[in-house]
Amino acid sequence: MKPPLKIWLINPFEYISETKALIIGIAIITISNIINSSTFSHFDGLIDYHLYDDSKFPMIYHILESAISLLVFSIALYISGRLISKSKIRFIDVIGMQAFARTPFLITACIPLFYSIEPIISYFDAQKNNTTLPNIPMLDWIFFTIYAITMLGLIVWLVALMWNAFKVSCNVKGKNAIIGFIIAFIISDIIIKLSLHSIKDYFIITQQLSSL
Amino acid sequence: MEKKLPQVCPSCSTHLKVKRLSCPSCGTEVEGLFDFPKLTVFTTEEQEFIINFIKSGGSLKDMATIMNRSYPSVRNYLDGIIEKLNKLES
Repeated sequence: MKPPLKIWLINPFEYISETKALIIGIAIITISNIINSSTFSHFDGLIDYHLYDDSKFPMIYHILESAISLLVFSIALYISGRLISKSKIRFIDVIGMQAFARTPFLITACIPLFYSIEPIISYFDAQKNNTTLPNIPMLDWIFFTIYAITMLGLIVWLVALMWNAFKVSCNVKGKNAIIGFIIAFIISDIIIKLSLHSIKDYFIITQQLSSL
Repeated sequence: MEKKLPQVCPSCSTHLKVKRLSCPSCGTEVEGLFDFPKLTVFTTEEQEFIINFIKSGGSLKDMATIMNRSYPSVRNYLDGIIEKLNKLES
């Protein structure tokens, strides 16, 4: 019997795991990063998504962002799972499912191909710098509201997938599982941000040196 | 309709015991108080899982293929059965 669509959207991990999940997940992450490199967008954190307008980064930087994020969070969840769970958990299941959980990244990466928030950003920048505010048509504000709601929905979906992936791959439930997930989330987000900050600096310095 | 084997007393919820057994061939009847086999505490689905698990030589990978489920979800199901069994024994 085929699982219902709701299961595929929220908890596909009852049906997909191990290498299959990892391969599909890596494919999704790679395609998302290829799109990101053309739209100057970055997944620079566990659930972060930003547009860098200052400089263009090479493809390897985008790959590193996702690889570090996936690896650090998977290790943190694996450790958390080993501490909480009584089951014999495997790292391949944790990382495979976490990679697959990044499916919403693909939709997030595609959005700038169809809609640009540049005018809204320039509006907020002007407001912050106390300069003349650009005229934004009402329709743009409506599109921006739809954009913001969509992004929020994608974040909720992403976290729901990450959580369900953790629950299934580590066989955890209840209060301890929630605490373990939150701690792993916070610690890994800090590590990811610090690592990416150093790597970003390195890439900027390298770019500046090569332009001399 | 398949009759379900009652496990607990509908009145006080105490675990039931077998009082009488009969031979369908010669009609001999044995009376006493016998415990249910441990496996009967599991649901039909869980019993099927246990049988298939033994048939597959204890391979979770094979069970995942049979059940069309992921490896961890099958392992979690087995862990649930083990937990149930441990609770029963303690």
